Formats: sequence, C-alpha cells, structure tokens
Amino acid sequence: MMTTANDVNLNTFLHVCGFRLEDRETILRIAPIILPHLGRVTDRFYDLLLQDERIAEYLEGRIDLLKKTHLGWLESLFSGDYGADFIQRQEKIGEVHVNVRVPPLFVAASMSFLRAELSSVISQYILDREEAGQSTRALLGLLDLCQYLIDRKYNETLMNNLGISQTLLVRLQTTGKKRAAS
Amino acid sequence: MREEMIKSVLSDLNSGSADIEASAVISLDGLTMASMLQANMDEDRVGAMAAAMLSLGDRTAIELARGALDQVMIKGSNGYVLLIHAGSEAVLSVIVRDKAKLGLIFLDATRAANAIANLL
Repeated sequence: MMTTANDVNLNTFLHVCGFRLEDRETILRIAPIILPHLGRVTDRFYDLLLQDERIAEYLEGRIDLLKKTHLGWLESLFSGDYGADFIQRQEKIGEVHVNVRVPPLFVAASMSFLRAELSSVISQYILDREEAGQSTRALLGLLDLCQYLIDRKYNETLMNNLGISQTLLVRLQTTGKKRAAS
Repeated sequence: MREEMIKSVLSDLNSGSADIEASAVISLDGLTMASMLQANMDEDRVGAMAAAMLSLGDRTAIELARGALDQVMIKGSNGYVLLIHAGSEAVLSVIVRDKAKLGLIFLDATRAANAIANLL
C-alpha cells in the first residue's frame, strides 16, 4: 500500500480520510465495471470545461492531448498501485500545474465533477447496495487522497518558487494564529 | 557561546545609533538565532516576516535581473525595517525609527552583517 512512515501529514490525512487496504481490494474488484465508462466521463468533463470561458482559454489547441492525459490518469486510479509511484504521480500533477499556471480551482472543480460522476456510474452499474456503498466510499476516498497530494505539492512548489521553505511557511502560519488569538 | 558573540555584535550595532530600535539575526527558515529586541516585539513574528521578505527580495532580484540581493528596505509611517544577508544562511534584521539618517545605519548594519557572517 503506501509508504508513509516519514510523512506525518499524509498519515494524518489517511487516518481521517479512511482510505485503507480493503478499499484497494474494492477498487480492483469494481475496475472492470467502471473502466469502460471512463472515456465517456472524460468527454463529458471536457465538454463541461469548454463551456466555461475562463477554463476554455487554458484548453485551447490542446484538448485531445489533455483528454488523453486525463483518461490515462483516471484509469491509473484503478490499477491498485497506491504506493510510492502513485504518490509521485499525483505530486507531479501538482508540480506541473504550477509550471503551466493551472490554479487549484480547476483541481477542486474537477474532483467535484468526478465525485458526482463516478458515484453515478457506480449506482447505475453496481446493483448490490452494499457493494455500491462500499465502492463509492473507496472511490471518493481515493479522489480525496489524490486532491490532497496534488494540492499539497502545488502549494509546496509555489512556495519554493518564491524561496519560502515549508518550515518558513509553517512559521508564517503560526505567527498569524498567534496574532488572531491575542 | 556563538549566540552570545552574535548578541554582542547586535548590542554594538544597537548602541551605535539611537535610531536603531532593535535588531535580530534570523535563519532563512525564519528561526531567530539571536536578537536584541524591545520587550513588546514578538521574536517569532520578527523572524518569520524578515525571512519571508528576504526570500521574496531574493526572488525579485533574480526575476528582474538585479543580481545577488544585497538588502531589502521597508519604509512605514513609523520607521524602517532593513534586511541584509549575513552570509548565505542568515539575515540581519534592523528595526529603525522614522527620522533616522539611513546612510550611517546602512554602513553599520552592513559591517555587523559581515561580522555575523564570519561567526556563523
């Protein structure tokens, strides 16, 4: 599963988010049912994005490439690999988003879309209520985890670009809290 | 021992001009290594703010092709904050009154920063 021994924050996230080993088994079990629908989900996702003028600007001229990348990422979530490579892949997305100036708003909006859309696919194609509930919980937990890893790396990369280390960032946050409390 | 030596440099700096209210040496991560601050000044806040400003100054100097950063000066209605690299791992922060003659203070602060850099 995950190698998080030195990652205190990720451990805390996983503890609260509750994405566990049995969720991996659930996702592997439902993968053959969900995978055939991911292409359609990706198409619907980009159709929706193109309707927003601001987002459409970012997509101009690269829609096919972006769809392919998105579908590849979505499919990879069902591979059952949630170890170091998985973490690194999500972090790479956060890093790239800083470099190509894709703000966190887009990740939050995308994840929100996927939560609704994949839940709908599950309820449509997994008829056993218990299995559907378990699958939804596992998949939502996985999407939450991806968003956390992507956003965390985005933030870290942005701050590093400004020359502000994580330690300094924590100090600045703590300073703000002290002032608010006093 | 080293902290005491740095404090001694800060003490000399502060006593060199009545317009210097306080000074501190801070790591690039915002940890205050030594300080001669007034009682009402929060050491953690001075450290975090100085390190953040220096980081942004470093980045600004690079982005705008101004070469290696020498110093950052902030002017407010109550006075100035001067930030000067003290070697590659620390920053000297000097808090100065609004009517101060900055020329002499810059000179003293640069000397102090060099002395601190040699101690680190």
